[in-house]
Amino acid sequence: MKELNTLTIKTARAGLDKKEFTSVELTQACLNRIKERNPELNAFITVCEKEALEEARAADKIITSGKALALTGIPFAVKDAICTAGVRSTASAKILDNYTPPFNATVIQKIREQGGVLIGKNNCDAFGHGASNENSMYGAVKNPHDLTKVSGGSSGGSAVAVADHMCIFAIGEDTGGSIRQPASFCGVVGLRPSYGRNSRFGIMPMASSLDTVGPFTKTVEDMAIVMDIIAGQDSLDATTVPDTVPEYSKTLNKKSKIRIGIPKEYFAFAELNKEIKTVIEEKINSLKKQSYEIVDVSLPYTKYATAVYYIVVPSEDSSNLARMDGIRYGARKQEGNLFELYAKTRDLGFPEEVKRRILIGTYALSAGYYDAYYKKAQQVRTLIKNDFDEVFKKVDVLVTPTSPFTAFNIGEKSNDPLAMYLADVMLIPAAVSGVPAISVPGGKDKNGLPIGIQVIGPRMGEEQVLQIAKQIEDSLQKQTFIC
Amino acid sequence: MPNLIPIIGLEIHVELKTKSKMFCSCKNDPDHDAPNTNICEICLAHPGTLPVPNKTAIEWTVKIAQALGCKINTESKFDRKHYFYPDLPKGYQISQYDQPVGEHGKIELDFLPGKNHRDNTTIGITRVHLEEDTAKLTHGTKNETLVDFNRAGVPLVEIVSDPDIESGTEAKAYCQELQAIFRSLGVSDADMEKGQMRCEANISLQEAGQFVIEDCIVKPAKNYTLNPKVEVKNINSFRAVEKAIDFEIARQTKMLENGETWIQQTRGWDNDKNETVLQREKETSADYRYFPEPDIPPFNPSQIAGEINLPELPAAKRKRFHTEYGFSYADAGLLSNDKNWGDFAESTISEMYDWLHNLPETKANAEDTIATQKTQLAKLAGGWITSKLMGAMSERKIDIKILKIKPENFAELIALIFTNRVNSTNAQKILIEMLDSGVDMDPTHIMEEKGYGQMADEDALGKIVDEVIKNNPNQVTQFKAGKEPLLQFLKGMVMKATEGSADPGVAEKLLREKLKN
Amino acid sequence: MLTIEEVKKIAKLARIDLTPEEESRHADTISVVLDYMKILDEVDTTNVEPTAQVTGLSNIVREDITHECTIKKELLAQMPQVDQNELVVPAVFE
Repeated sequence: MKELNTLTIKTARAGLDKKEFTSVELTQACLNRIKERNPELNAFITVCEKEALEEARAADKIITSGKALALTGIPFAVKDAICTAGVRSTASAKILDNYTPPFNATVIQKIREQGGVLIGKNNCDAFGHGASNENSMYGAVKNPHDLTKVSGGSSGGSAVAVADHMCIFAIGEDTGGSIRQPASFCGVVGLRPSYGRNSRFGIMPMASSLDTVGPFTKTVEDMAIVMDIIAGQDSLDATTVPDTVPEYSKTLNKKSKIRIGIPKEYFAFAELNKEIKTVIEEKINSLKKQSYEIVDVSLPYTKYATAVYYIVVPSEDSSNLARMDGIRYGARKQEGNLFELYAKTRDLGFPEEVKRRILIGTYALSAGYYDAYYKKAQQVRTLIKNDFDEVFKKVDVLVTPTSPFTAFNIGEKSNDPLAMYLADVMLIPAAVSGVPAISVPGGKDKNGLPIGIQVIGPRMGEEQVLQIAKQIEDSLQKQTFIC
Repeated sequence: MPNLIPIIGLEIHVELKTKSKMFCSCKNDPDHDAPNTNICEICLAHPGTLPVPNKTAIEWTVKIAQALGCKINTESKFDRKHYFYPDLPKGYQISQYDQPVGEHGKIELDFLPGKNHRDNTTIGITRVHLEEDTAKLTHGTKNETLVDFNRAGVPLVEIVSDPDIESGTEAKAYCQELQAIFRSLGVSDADMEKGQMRCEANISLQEAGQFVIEDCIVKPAKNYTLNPKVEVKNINSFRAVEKAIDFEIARQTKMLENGETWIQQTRGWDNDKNETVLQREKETSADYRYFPEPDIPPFNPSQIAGEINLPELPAAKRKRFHTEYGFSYADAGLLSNDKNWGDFAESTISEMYDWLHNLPETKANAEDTIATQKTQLAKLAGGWITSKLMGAMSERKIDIKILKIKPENFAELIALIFTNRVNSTNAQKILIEMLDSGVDMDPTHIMEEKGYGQMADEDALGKIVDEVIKNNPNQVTQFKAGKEPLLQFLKGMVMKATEGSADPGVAEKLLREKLKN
Repeated sequence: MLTIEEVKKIAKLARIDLTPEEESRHADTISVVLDYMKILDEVDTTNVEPTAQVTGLSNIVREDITHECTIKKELLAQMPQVDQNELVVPAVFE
């Protein structure tokens, strides 16, 4: 039999229900993998060994009694910038080093109610600030395919945890690409849902108007299973939409008539690696062969998305992180007067990139600059959003590379913030527009590093995004790109 | 020295008495519970928590804005206002910046002759917006501050006036009028002493004719430099509003007369010293970095509020109390400021009219009496409510909300006084007994039981008069010799012998008759 | 270009203590980023409404109902310093 930790949600569920193995065995297999690999990969900040095994034992009793729910006994991991009741949640920043939220994020609550076993909390770029997972105050996360490469970020630890089979699935957060980019670099499936589809309650915010929470899974089918559980309106999040949630796992294999758009701007980036371009073109051809209509389209405002993003995000960010002040929770540096308490606590508690974004945001929002930066960016954002609205009148999904390059070297971009910001160039437009996008493994480059393919859909169009992602996954002939 | 005009704008904050807080479901009860009991992860701004606005709070803000004659914006939204302070959990306050719930309203103020430099004025309302209250800070024992978050996130409405106020009297009247409006709407108790209603004043003095007020902003005439304004905080009562502003007008006048100037500043009102004290000088205005609250979608206040039927507002009620019932302006003002008192007064009048229709001595001409003596009746009832009843209640710390005396019995007492069945002295005794009994007692019953009724019966009173004449032979002799004032002495003796219950008119008549012989 | 003076001013506003080296580094890197933002000047945004949110939602409210919080003790336990149920911070009144 395969190592238990390499199972998917679907196969693990089947095995547990058929009593081929227990949740304790499954959980222990994941814990063993973590023990073996985490010292090198650094994907976890906190491992809930004792609690996970206890939960697994309880899950086994439920399974025996025949009352298992969708995730009963299945170990999952969570990005550390997401609140988990009773389990330390640092967001990879020292300012929350001692912080244990007494409540669950809504999506975590939903997974817990379906029986998911929380195995640990994943390293990430502090408060989600980064595209390489080098901005963690708990050390960089390494790529399991090549330890000299970055995992991608900001939800790097979660991508690695799934890719390296330290858990069955994980929950991450995507503001500008923080799920899709590490999913692409590590060779797993990562979904950024439509803004408003999943509740943000309990997700430590970066940019409120862009943040989304989504899963990392080993297969598209697993993605549909988790989305079935976590999607939907939440009375605690006023920005979730009331639209009915389709049953993604039921419609996944439906071969609907889907028109696929190929946005030319995504293939015109100078940075786009040739190997990646070739892989994507192959996939597009294979979709064509399956009689999907392929249409060339254009999103003319694409090139402005990164600039818009790096004004809107730091602005909202500087505001959202104002509550990180050492007053009501977290680490407090009590020295001198009140002003010094704030300034020193925040100096010691945030890494350089977080400080930089707070400074940019504070500047962009301050008197006299608001119109030139924040307002201007929100206006251009309207134009980028209109691009998508227009294009989705013509096609049902877009297929693009997830990233112009595969995982880069650790340290390669860490001293050049702008280069790091530009790494998310293919991911940001969808984020700015609030549409759903998935990264699905498409192959590997000559160095054996995974290549991700992105499928973007219209708002609330997760259904067709998952269907096309499934087709791409199937076309890889069940070939796995997981180590 | 040229004529200086005080230019005053007020910012009023009022806590709404909704059941729950503004953005979370914690109990809205900042004054009663032990510290940090009405808290949750949302109002403590734990990471990832989000605000969801309270429907009733929006509805009530629309009510307030409508009551103040504001235009209700169809597009409204919340904004974030940033500053760091331990009383502000999120590091920003959710407030409203450029699209408040309501704008451009007004309040009309009238003054009794001689009470203000102008008898009436209109104070413009710049805006009415909704926000959240901060936590409460108190001094600790050592060099520390204690924070109680029970108040953090309580719905707070801010009402900004145009700079139309010119005196302490007007400022106080404006605040009192707002309080009466909040109470009549039932949206807040607006007790200043409890901090449910707070007042901040912006005061400057400018030379007459050297400025204009445009779009709520004071603008200088050509070649004139505006005198800097002073913001006064810590104003915790209506009295303090008046005193702080009058103090500040006097202080600034004196400085200007001495040729002194100052930097725009914030001062605090010191209730003990009766003066304003410098808190800080502002070189530049604070940078609050407002931007639209991304966690809350925009809203149309009127759509959320639905159809609103405003109750009768204090100004209208005041007018009606004067014209319909004949209450004096002063009594009408007092009685219409509080819904409970207004209702009590109205019921008292209508019950009193009923009594006049039923009492044997008035029932024949009740309609006539009411028509011709409306003002006298209202003056009598108004006086007994505003001075006697309110006074006795305030001594006993009884609030109108827990008053046991029902208007029917109170009106009966007034009717007994009006028909001379009881004199004023004894009526007061009856009132006190009614109040102290702790139940709703019938005044006629007390009057009869205690013998407080006026002795108008000539036979009974005649015997007492005979007695008085017999016991005071000297005075009787002198009266008969022409010393008229001694009649008052003899009448006093009759009153004394009857413990005040003799009808003074009848007593005098009997004395004169009997002394003629 | 963002000057060191400006960095100092924003850092004060944002309550972040910076060393002189950090101030100079941030002045440099932020200047590069702000320079990149100039790309937006190419875009004509006359009469374009800003997008503050993408959902198109409006009038989202909750009913005025109270809900007793069950984790008050744990919330207090997260506070760095508590005295008789009150949070303690350095004196704000000086």
